[in-house]
Amino acid sequence: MLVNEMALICLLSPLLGAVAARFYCHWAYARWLTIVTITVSWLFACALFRDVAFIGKAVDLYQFSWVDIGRYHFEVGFLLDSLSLMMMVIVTSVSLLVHVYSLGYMQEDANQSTYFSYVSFFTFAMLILVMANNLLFVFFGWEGVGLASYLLIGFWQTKAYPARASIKAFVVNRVGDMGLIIAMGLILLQLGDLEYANILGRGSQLLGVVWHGWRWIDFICLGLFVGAMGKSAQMPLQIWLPDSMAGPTPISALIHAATMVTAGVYLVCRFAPWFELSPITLSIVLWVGFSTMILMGIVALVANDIKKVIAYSTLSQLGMMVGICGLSGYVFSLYHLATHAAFKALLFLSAGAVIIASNHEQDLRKISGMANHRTIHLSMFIGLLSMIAVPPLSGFFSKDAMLMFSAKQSLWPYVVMVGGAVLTALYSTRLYYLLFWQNRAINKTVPVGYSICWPLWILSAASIYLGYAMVPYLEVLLRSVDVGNQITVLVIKDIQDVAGFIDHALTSLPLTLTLFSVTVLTYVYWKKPSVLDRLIKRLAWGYDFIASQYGLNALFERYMVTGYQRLSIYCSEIVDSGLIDQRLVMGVSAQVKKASGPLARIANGKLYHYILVMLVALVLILLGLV
Amino acid sequence: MIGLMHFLVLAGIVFTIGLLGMVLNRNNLIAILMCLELMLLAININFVAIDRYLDLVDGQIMVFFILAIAAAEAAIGLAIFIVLYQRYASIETEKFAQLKG
Repeated sequence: MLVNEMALICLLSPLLGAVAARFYCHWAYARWLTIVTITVSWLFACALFRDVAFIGKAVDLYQFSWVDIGRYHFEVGFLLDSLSLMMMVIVTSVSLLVHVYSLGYMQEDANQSTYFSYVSFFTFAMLILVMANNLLFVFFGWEGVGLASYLLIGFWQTKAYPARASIKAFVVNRVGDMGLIIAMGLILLQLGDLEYANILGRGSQLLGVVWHGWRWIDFICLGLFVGAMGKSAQMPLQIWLPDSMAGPTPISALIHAATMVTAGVYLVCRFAPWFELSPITLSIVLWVGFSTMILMGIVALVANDIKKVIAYSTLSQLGMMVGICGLSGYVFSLYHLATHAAFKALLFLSAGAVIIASNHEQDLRKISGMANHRTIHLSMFIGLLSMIAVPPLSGFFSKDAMLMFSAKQSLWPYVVMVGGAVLTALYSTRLYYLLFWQNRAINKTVPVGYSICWPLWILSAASIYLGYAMVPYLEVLLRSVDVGNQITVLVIKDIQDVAGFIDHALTSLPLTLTLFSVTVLTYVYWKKPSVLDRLIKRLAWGYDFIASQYGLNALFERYMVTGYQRLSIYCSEIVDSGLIDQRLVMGVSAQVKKASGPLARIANGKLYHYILVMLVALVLILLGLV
Repeated sequence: MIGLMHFLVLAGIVFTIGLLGMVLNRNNLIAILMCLELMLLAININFVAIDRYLDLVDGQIMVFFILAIAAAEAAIGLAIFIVLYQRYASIETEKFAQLKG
């Protein structure tokens, strides 16, 4: 079959499912319909991956002309290369598993057709984002993803918290979008085009463009990165992500593993050649990424809501990916993105199973009896091991590749990365302890169905195997994000010798430290939990400070939300109802009414009076003529 | 001998009767319609008398038009009255004052 048709079917199938499920379907069929359409999309994504990803060059598929203004032409088209195809496969696979999982998870919900329609729409928007061949079309998907996340985070809209959280996610994402829009405008101004094929290679043209000593390329890359920060939830725009836990758990899995947060990393990798030209932006990327990794990793240590712990771990892992982008290791960042998609989806879906099994209890201190639930226990265990990067699970391959890459770059990023890895080990161990060891009382747990277990099993397999399976793909992936970095090539060569790579890692510092910290924390939890209690008591002030995400939430609340609300109230009460309503609209009509009062008395509705007036007027006119 | 002036005076009297009927009549729409017809007839008399006096035919042609229009107007007016009566069960002038300012 032709590549073009395959790409179209892959993209449009989820849209069809979304529209049909929302508007034309009984809910019982809507669920199955969306699953069928997403399966079709997944199959075609896989087929495209097999056919196109390995041919070594990008396939640009022109569809139709979209906007034609003067000298600017924007079209709708797809760019298929090893990067976008990998993203397509990740997105559709996770989305398919989430659809299946939702069958069980959302069983008792009344608005299932709406829910499934939104999830399919989410997938559709994300597919546009990764498939599009120009920035304007990307922006369409970018906003679609934002909209879908808003709809899904606030899916239980009758409760106050999800409604607030969804608005927060939407607004914070707009801040990032502003950066992207500015970057698009600047690119358009300089190069007159937004199509990847026409602009990516022309980055060096921008080097000469200077404005008051500031290079344009820096502005553009910074704008792109601000957009990425919004979507990929980097500090200080990370505040929406923990609150997005208010949505249904499968949605958290979808947002954290496949759609939404990967968009930022994808954008940065797509514009890798440009970021290379702007060292300032690269160092900002590095700083932002690493500070997110460390600071959010620490927050994960003190959170008590099972979903929030995993959300903070996502932030920490995303920070790692973004930081590595800042070191020009785009391939490894994408590698980690893929394995992270597997184990993070697994962790979230297991967390959803925990929530169901414990009858909608999310507080880690109260959940009990999970250790007896074999599927949940095993899948959570595998997910956490993969995240800790224990060889030979998939997380190990990607994380150790990143570590090795940073080690070959320079010392301090390596040290920070090791710190991040140790933090990962600590919060994962804590999560495991709180979930499975702390309350061992055998409570009656709610059984979970097959539609929930199956995705867990599949994702467990992926979390174990994907990292190894992707090793040969790295070279192919490198062709899409090649920036001529020699260290990248070296590290890829190292990884390809898998046995040697594992051997080397077993004796290396990060893994030793990681396993050491796991052992220590396990020992403390096992033998001397009182040490931790005392530590927490002594550090109580810091504990609260960290749990509030370093006061960032309060800061935004205080200086931006309150101010904005005051402005809104001013606009609504003084400007709208005061000036426009009272003065302009009602005022004008009141004045007209007042002025027309005496005249209106003439028109008293009595026919004979009118005739009399006519008569008198006629007589007066005739007298005037005479 | 009956001259032009007699006809003009007659027309003036008929017209005045119609006009006064319209102004003074306060509760019957049909009476108003009849007064209107009366005024038109007064004008017809004027036309015919002046034509005869000046030995012309133009005014007499005009009379036919006026008669035709008067007939049409009467038909429409009566139809409106019937509709009004159906809706309000009355054709008193005082009832129809919705345009009162």
